[in-house]
Amino acid sequence: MNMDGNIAKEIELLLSRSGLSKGVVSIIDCWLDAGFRIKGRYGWAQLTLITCDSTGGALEEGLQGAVAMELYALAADILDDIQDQDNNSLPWRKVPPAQAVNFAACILVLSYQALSTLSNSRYFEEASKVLNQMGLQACDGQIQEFLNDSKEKITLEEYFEIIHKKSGGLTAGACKIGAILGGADQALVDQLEQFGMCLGIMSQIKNDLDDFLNPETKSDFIKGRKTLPFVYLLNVLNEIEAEELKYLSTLASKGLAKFGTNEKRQLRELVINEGAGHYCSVIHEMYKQRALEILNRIPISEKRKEKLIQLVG
Amino acid sequence: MNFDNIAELVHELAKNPNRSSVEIPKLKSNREMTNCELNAIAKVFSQEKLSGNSSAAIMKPTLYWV
Repeated sequence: MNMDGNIAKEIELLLSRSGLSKGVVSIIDCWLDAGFRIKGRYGWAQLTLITCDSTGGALEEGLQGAVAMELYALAADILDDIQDQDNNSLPWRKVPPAQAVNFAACILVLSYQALSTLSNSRYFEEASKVLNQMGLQACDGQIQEFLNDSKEKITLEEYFEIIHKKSGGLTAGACKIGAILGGADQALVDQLEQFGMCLGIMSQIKNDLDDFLNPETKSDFIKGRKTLPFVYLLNVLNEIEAEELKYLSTLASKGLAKFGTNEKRQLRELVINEGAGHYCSVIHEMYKQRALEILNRIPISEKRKEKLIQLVG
Repeated sequence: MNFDNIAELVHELAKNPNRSSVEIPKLKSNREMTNCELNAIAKVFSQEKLSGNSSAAIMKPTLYWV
């Protein structure tokens, strides 16, 4: 059986033993499938398993951690979409928010349940600690991001502090759990955690730029969300262009009806002409180089590193 | 990573119509920047020069997590 098949089987087993009613299980299955259509199948579980494999761990050893990460990330996505009122086509956005929040809580508990099936008590203890720490950090980052929506400006340092917690923390957590379950020593666990941090930040930067340029499908600019291209522009523009950005931002905050084709073109031109796209690409490149440097240093065979290198792109 | 210094230099380059002929390492004077930072900036601007498209994204992670 391939990696996806094993993950699917483990999730099925977890759900069948959970005591949840058939209707609830069926909805969770459906929501997992909906998430896959957007982000690809089992991205989080795969990241955990690839890291576990790179340290010499067997698939069976990493599976519970992989499923825990997959479910944790689904719960986080649901809560994120409710907060942002984004991704309206997804099933958790088509039910009342209170219902979606309850499902997210249920999926979060299932994530911990998945870890609790680990037979090695030391692995269970360490992986649980990572999941807890990662969860608290991600919540902290998410809350800070939410509070920043109403601020006129934040610094680039403040932006990176938040995405370290919110985005980097999750991918770092997945890699750390994979490394722990693979039996890696502490030094290797730490290095793979740092590698995961780079992956998450790279992913967030790409996401930020894509979403900033697509206000019709993503609400970042409309909400005043301090994404990287926006924070960069807020920090580098001269007075005239800063006024233009403020005008566009104020208009967008009144809703998409006010933000027409001309305004979208103006925003795109600001991103291109003022170097916001370049800046996102430069920082992305720097984290990519950092990720590759980490891989270069870690004491595992080239063959085992290959899949990790592919993740960097 | 000095995010502010990088932003300042990137902005300067983006506003410079002759940026394709600017030798980026020469811009290091009076800036606290590492070679790694300058290399990343040089790479992004040279890719833009090659593609002829200033909005071309070079960011291609294999998987999509956040």
